[in-house]
Amino acid sequence: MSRTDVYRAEFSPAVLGSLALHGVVAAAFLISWSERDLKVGGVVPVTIVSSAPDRDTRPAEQADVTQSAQTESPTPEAPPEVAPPPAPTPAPAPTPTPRAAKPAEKAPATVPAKPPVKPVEKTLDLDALAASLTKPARNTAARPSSAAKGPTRAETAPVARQTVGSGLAAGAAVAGMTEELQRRWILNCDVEGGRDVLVRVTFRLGVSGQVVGDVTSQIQSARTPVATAGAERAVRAVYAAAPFRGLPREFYGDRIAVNFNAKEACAR
Amino acid sequence: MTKTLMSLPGLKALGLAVFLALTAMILATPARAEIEVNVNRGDVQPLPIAVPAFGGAQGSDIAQLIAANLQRSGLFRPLDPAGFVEKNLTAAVQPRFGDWKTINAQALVNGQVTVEGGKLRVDFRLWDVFAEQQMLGLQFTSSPENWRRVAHKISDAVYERLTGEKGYFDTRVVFVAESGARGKTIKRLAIMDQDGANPSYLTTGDSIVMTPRFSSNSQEITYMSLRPDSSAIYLFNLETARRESLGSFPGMVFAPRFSPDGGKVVFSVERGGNSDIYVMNLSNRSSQRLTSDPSIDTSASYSPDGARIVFNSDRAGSPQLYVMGADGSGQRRISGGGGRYTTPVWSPTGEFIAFTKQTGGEFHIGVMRPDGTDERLLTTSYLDEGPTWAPNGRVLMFSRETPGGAPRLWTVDVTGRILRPAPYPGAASDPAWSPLLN
Repeated sequence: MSRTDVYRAEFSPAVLGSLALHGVVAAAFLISWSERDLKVGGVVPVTIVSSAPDRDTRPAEQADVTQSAQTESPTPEAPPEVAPPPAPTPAPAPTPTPRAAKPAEKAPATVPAKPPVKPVEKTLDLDALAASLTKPARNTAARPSSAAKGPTRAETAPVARQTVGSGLAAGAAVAGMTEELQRRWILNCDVEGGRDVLVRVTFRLGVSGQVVGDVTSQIQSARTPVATAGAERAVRAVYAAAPFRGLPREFYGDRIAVNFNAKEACAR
Repeated sequence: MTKTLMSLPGLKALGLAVFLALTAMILATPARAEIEVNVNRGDVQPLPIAVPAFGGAQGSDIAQLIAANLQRSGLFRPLDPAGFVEKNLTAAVQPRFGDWKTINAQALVNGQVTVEGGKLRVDFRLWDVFAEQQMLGLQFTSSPENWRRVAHKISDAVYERLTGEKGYFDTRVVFVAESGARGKTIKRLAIMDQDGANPSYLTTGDSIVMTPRFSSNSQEITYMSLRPDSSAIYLFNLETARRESLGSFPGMVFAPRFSPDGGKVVFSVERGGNSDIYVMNLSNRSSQRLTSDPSIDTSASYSPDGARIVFNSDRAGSPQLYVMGADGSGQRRISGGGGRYTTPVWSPTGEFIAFTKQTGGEFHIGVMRPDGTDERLLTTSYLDEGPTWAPNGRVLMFSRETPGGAPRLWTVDVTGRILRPAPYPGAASDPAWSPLLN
């Protein structure tokens, strides 16, 4: 089972700072409010038309390609702009001598060629066993989230509501979120440096569990192109796992920080 | 409009009350804090990617070639186009990301092909489906018959953007094509694209050719030609098809390889049972002897910076790997395990040295660090030999022979997990991978 840590500071420095600021504001209010008149401005009505996520519609970049000498090579030209969507879219070398000698060094001809499969050391991994009971088979497209969704979700039931805010419920909720992120995190252990990637991804959740605002990533290992690609995969996992429903109410609006650890994940 | 709201004493009392109320509310409300989650497990699988047919002529062919390249790398899983929801996608409009999320495509490559004035223009874009962002957008122009190279270049761009590693698809492989019955085998120098396309012979088969090697500019190869009474090292220009001998030497010459800058060729000369390594400066044809041990020193390969050379020598009783300075200084053994080590090749990134290892009646392709540590055997078979690196240093090609069978080309990645036949159907050996084409 993967480790899940929940840390919630009840009186953080930010709160203390906030208190101090309120005090200063109130004091200023009491001291400096003299006979000055207040100016009351008009109210501007605001209507939310849509809340679609930002889309990066950067134009195509100039390809760094030159002509090849042996054949005509593809060359770059000015790129076109991407048109807006037509309608709003939802969201070495062997020596001659050894070469001749090699057959004599080979195994007898009766020895069959062995398949190039490396032996797997079998151990009893209870964590893996437990995970296999809840994890769907790999390579399945469009795997549904394990989190309960829709009107019949347990979290909306009165009984479930009674546990909201308790440490047990919070722990279970975060465990569910972690499991969903694990299933959506497609990591690359096969490139050099891919196993060393450590990424911290932060985001906020809206009231319906959707990701609100930007998802930001911070590479906490060596900043290499492989790590950058790994960070993008971690961010993609967050978007793919959202919305995170079934969480205790107080989670919504909080900043969530997810530490993606490829070293441990690739070692499994 | 302005107006006076309240007298000063009343305002002060109200302000104090508001302050106390706010303070009480803040103290009574739980703090907004950061929730921290650790994810130490993930899904290790090839990245699902959608490559729908590009719009325009040959758009389907280009998309299929890109998908095949990515799939062959072992790091991607192109999705079946039959499952695509959004059809007729072009590079001119944004995709309907929801349609691609439905089939769990992590990334999407779409594009448009146009032919104007006899020129092929391919515009493509790479999208992050879940982040709903464009990751890459490039345009290539070429002559229409070069559509395969355009597709290879797009493959390289997509591969690099999604893995962080350089691609290796716009490359070629020179090798020894073998034909004819055993004992009467004709060995001809041949070349093909890395995906097996466009194979062609470079020599006629009137002599046995061995150990072809690319220069760093991809336009020239060096190889050994063996006749019953002599051997020679040739330089072959791929653009002009001009062949040039490196010169005559007092003995058998073999195992040539270019220096990284292409200005020198290092090779072995055998005389009286003793082989030593020499280097020739191609600008003035002057030669320098690098080893003088009374043993077989051969298979020299430069480090990417040209400062060091790895080679194999049986000076310790069996073939082992040694590293020396490019001037022959500081020779020291780096292989420490049991078995016989041959055909060392320094990786283009400098991180590893690939080799052939024979032990326990079996052959292996393996890699180790240049200091001899971290040895890993990637393959095991009746006969695996002669590794060559793809230019990104992640994939190796080598020849594999089964008992009684003809040698075939195979590839394996540096982790040893992705092992598969190379896309060339005939008998072949001694592959050499080119650098990325210009």
